[in-house]
Order: sequence, then C-alpha cells, then structure tokens
Amino acid sequence: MRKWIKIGLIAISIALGVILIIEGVKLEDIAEIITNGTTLCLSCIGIG
Amino acid sequence: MKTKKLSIIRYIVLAISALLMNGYIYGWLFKPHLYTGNLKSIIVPVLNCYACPSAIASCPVGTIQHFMVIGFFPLFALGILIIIGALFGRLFCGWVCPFGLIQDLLNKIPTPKWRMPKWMRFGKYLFLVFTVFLVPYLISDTVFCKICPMGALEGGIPQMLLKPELHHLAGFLYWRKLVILAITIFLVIFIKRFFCRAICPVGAFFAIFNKISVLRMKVHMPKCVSCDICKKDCPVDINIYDDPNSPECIRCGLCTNSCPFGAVKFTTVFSSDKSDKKIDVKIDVKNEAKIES
Repeated sequence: MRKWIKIGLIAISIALGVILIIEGVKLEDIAEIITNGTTLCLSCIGIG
Repeated sequence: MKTKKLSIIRYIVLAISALLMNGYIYGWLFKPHLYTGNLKSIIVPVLNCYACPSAIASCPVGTIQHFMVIGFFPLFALGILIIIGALFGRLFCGWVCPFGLIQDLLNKIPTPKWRMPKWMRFGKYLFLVFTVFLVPYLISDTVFCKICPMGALEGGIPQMLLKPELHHLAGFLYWRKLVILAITIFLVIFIKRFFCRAICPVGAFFAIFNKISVLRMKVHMPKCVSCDICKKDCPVDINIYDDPNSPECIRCGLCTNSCPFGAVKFTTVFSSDKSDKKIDVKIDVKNEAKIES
C-alpha cells in the first residue's frame, strides 16, 4: 500500500511539474530566465 | 577496494559535470566575461553560480530569487526542479554538484573530523524558505546570492580579477562574501559536506523528495549487522540502515559498495522486495570481521 502511495505522489509531482513548466512557458519564463542569466548578477559577485 | 573504484568514478563524473556546466572558457579570456547565449535558459539542478565567466547555464537559486524579486512565481524553474526531485531525489547533490565536489576534495585534507550537530540540518530548510522565497519577495532583493559562498568563489573572485573597473565597487558586501566563503571552506575541511547539510537550498528542495522519489536506496535488513562500515564512507555521516531514504542522503552510492554483506543497494520505487533472499548473518559477520581486522 505504501508503495502505491509513493507512486501516486511521484505521479502527482511529475504532473504538477509538467503543468508548471507549461504555464511557465506560456508566461515567457524562459525569456526572463535568459535575460536574468545573461545579466551579470551583482549580488553574486558581491557589489550590489 | 570496490568503494575506492566507485569513489573515483564519482569524482570523474563530478569533475566532468563541473566542466560541462562551466564550459564557456571564452568567458575567461575575452569580454564580457559572461556567457550570453540561449543555453542560459537551462536551469541546472545544482548550485552553480551564473555569474561565473564560464557558466553556460542558470543557477536555480538565483533564478527563483529573481522571480520572487520581480513578483512572479518561478513556475518553469520549480516545474523542472519538482520533476527532477520526484525522479532522482538528491542524486544530483552526490553526482553532479560542483560545490559538492569542492567540499569532498577539501574534506580530504587530513585533519581531525568533527560531527555536525543534528539540529543544524534543519538550517537548509530555513535558508530555502526565507532567503530564497519569502524575504526576496518581501524586500525585493536576492538575499541568498548576497551570502552565497559559491557566488563568491565562482562569480565574485573571478569577475574582480578579470574586470579591474569593478575594483572600486568592492565594499562591505564583497568582503563579507569572502569571509563567508572562508568560514565555509574552514568548516567543510572539518565537517563532511557542511554546506550541503546545513545551508544549501537546492539540497533542501530535493531532500523533500528523497522519501518518495523513483530512485531509492534499500537496505536488506536481514543482511545488515549495523557494523557502521557504511557510515565511515558516507559523505553526509548518516546511518543508511536507520533510514535508507533519509532526506540527508545524497545518493552517492558509496555505501552500496562499502557494505561487506551487500545489504545496501540502489533500487526504484517500482521494484519488488520478494527477490531478496535471507543469508546466514552469523557466519558472514565472523568472516567479514576477520577480513576487516
């Protein structure tokens, strides 16, 4: 029984992950991630 | 001997992963000293600072904080992390994370080793909730990046070396980051994977999934004699037989090889227990005790 609960939780997690990815793509998260990643992170280097 | 072989393989995988994630060598040689291509849309499931001149992918912690700062929920990034967590748990901490590699190597320095107090393991969850999600949203600032030792190591020091024009900006925040890095390095030398166990928000996120993930550790209890040989090799100081899928386990697999009775193994949530066969524990204990001594 516990095994099937775990499998159920995995299925829910993967389904949730897929939904979040799809919604994220719709909201143009990827463009924002690229913009953020290609801008020098001042907090990371410790100057802002 | 088998453990040593697996350990070497793991170090090779960790090193190759670190090189792949930081493969933009051009960034060290020419301006702008930062990769600006589309590969930055990839979010690596480990701590790898995207301010590093050679980083080709994005840091999940930095990305999530950025979204919280601008007032949006990081749907895409969380979706990726949830799927990876559900499939592998903390596997990437043990086999891919560049900061994990650095910690493992630093801990090889021959010094007396300390045990980390158990309560400190809860620290990483607080860092995840407060410094990655909550406080960045409330004060519109990337709080964890400001204290991240990996940022200082991969981003702060190289960028300062490569860009003299930034030198005049190096104030309290920069030196504080260097002090945090120095303290982290000091603690990591004495405590196995201190950062992963007490601070890392990525580790905390994946730790939530360790109990349910598809990839799992299994201890065949009739074979286990609680000899603690596995604990000696464990990079996070856990008793795998107490809780094979402990949130602390980074799935490095060293215990699978160090166990003289073959009691620990990788498995999946789909596998059946029926294939396990009991063995005569007493005979094995005696034999293995002689071998060990």
